[in-house]
Amino acid sequence: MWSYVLRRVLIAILVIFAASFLVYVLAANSGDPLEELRGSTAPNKEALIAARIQLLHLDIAPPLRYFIWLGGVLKIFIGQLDLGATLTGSAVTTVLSQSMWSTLQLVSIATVLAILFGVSIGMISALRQYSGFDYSVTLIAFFFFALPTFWVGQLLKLNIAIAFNDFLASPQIPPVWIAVIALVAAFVWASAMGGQLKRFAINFGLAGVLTAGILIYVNLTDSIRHPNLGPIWIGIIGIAAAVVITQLTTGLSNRRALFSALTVALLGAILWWPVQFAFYYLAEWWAMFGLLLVALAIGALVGWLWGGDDRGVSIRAAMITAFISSLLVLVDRILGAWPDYVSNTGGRPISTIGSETPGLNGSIWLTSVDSFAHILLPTVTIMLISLASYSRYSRGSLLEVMSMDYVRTARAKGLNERTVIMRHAFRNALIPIATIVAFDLGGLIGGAVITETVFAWRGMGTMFVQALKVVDLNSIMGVFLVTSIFALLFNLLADITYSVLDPRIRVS
Amino acid sequence: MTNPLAAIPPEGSGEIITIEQQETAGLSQGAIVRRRFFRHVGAMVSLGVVLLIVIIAFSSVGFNIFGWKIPGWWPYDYTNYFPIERPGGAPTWDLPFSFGSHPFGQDDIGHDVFAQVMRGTQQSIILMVIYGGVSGVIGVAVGAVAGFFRGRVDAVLMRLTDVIIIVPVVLLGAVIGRTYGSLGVFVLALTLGAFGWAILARLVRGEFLSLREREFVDAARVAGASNARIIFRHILPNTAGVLIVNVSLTMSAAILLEAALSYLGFGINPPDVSLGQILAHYQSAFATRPWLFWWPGILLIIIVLAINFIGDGLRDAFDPRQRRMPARPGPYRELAQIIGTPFRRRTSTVAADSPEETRD
Repeated sequence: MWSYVLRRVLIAILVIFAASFLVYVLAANSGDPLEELRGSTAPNKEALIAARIQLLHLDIAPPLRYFIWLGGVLKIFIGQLDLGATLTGSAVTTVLSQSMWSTLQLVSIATVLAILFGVSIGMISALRQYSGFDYSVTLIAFFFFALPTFWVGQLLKLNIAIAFNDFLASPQIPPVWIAVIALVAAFVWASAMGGQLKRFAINFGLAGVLTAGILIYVNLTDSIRHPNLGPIWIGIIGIAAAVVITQLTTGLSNRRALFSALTVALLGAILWWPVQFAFYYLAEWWAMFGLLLVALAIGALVGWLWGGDDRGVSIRAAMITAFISSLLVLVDRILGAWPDYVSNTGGRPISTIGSETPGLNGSIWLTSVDSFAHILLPTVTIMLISLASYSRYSRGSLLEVMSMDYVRTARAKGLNERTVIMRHAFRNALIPIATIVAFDLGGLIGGAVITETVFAWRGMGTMFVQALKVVDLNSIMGVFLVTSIFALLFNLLADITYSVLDPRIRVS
Repeated sequence: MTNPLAAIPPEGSGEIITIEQQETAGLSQGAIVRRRFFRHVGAMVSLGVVLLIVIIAFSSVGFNIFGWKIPGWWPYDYTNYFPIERPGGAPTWDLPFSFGSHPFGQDDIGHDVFAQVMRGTQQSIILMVIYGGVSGVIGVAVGAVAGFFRGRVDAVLMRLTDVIIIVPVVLLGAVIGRTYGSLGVFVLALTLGAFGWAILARLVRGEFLSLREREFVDAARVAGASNARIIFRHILPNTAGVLIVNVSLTMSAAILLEAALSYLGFGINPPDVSLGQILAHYQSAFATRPWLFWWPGILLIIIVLAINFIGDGLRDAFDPRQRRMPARPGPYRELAQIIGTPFRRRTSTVAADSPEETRD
């Protein structure tokens, strides 16, 4: 195993050398880095040109200049990585580290959400093969595949964002929309639940009425202007989450697991009051992280106290519920900053450009809302498209697993459907998806070019495109180095995960 | 395979012969695939749509082949500008059938949007075909050689593939745009295709690695077939499914790739137009002149969607494992049956088989 990893890493380093040489020569031939200076009218034009030639060693032919750059990269072994200077003279390493951070922010949230939703949608549509839900998901996925990223981005930016901001001026959901949303939700829930006509009709009615009820409640309490969950809703949502989690992990028949999850959900609602003090006095991210750990510990403790013979599953269910409950409490606090933020942005909170409002100073709650308002549209753009592919992959993967002999065996020995799906089929269906996710992550780091350009997000993609336009070689190479290392690293990770998750496959 | 003829129903029995039955009746693999493909409604509709778009795009504004200018039936050119007919250049198309002179509208200086969009569609289609061809041929060649000969050849070729796969496409677009700006879509397609074969090569290699261990390859070798003959006559036809499906999906991805490149300013350069370039050029006009945004965008989506559906149809047709199981009657069918029951009772034949259908 380790010799395999070592060999792959060595090969990857060689590949990066070859590719970086190719890219360097190509990029050097794509234009003239002195172009803007040649056209300038500055009196010290000659001196500027000479200075830039000296700074970037432009008097040396590109294939040789590559080795100067390579020398800077290799200095990483003596602890002083030098990626050269940009056209304006600042160090590439500093510019790059900033843009890398903002790209990672954007891509990681979008990817996590896309995987979560994509995999669940795909798996449900596999379990309900040839149902209305399945056909709709397939059709929508195909449609999203065909959408050009920049077109979606522009549409969201110039249409949805503006419409939503207009809507926020007087946030009352019109009755027609309530009806439409309720019908769609009813269709999705009823189809996903499956079953014959009677069950379908019951689910359809329940989901529709529930959705419409929530929307009407939102309208009546003016919750869009003053959104907050409060302990009551945290309790209700927490209990629902507890039931769903127990059903998925152990089945509702395991009473101890169910009760530990429910206890944690109730505790979450009760602990809302003391936590508000912590939020007031300890408004820092490390404190939030500490609180999350405390919540998980409480969950584990509750599970341990309830659990009889089978403590492990109770602890697991309780901890997942604790995680969700603490997220709810945090979201509740962040939502509290929303009215303040709306008034700060002149009533148009959803932003279409950049990653933060310049000059906005406030509590971490205000800045979180700010980040959210900025990251929302680019995240949706990236998500929609990768969600489509994840849903297709996971559908195909689960369908293939469900037709395997071991699933039939599991059914034949009398296991209930939940155990068959969650323990036998689901886990094995995740194996190919894990490798695809690893591949995608590697590609996405450098692949958010379009989204970043549309939303003027100052990440690596924008940096790369800008650098290409002015032939800023060192910046191009800096971004390329990071993206290619990520790509090869995740490539390796994909292969290793595969062999770890599926013992039938051996890497050698 | 005891007696394939036994599966054929006697002539004149009036039974419907399904494709699966005919398979046992001894249809060739090609015939089965063809029939399955023709039965795929989505793919057939998409094929029609693509053909229609190709015909309209090429016949309307005409095209150049090696300097030969073939005129089209559309009176306006995509490069010239004309007096603006309606305020802002709004489309002169009044629903349903009064097209006017500029049905897709005009831009701010009077270009005819229909001519531009048709020219852009041509570019996308040309790019798609060349890209698919070039990347397909290189990918198959590299993958086949690597997978068949294995060992050192395989290692070298696969490392080459790794190098190619991490070279950023945007960079290629920029280099081509700067160096050969005027040569347009052909050079762009050739270059992108020359760097777009890596994933296909990996797939083909995988197929070759597993197929070369099969008995029919051993049989061919024992019979004295050369390596070339084994590759071309014995293994390659067996990878046709994977190949055709992936090339078709690559082609639709190529259209989106070109659009993205043109959007960033690294693809097709003005004065020539492509769908992505129109979108990029007029992106600020979205709120005021939406027709400059919607027409090229919708056309782009339709083409990509149609190609993807064709690819999906091909995948279904080539997959020998795929036998469509009859779906269990879901809530809709049940509802339809309940609604339909009073009408059905009138005819005795349908009523007779309805309990069969409702059985779970």
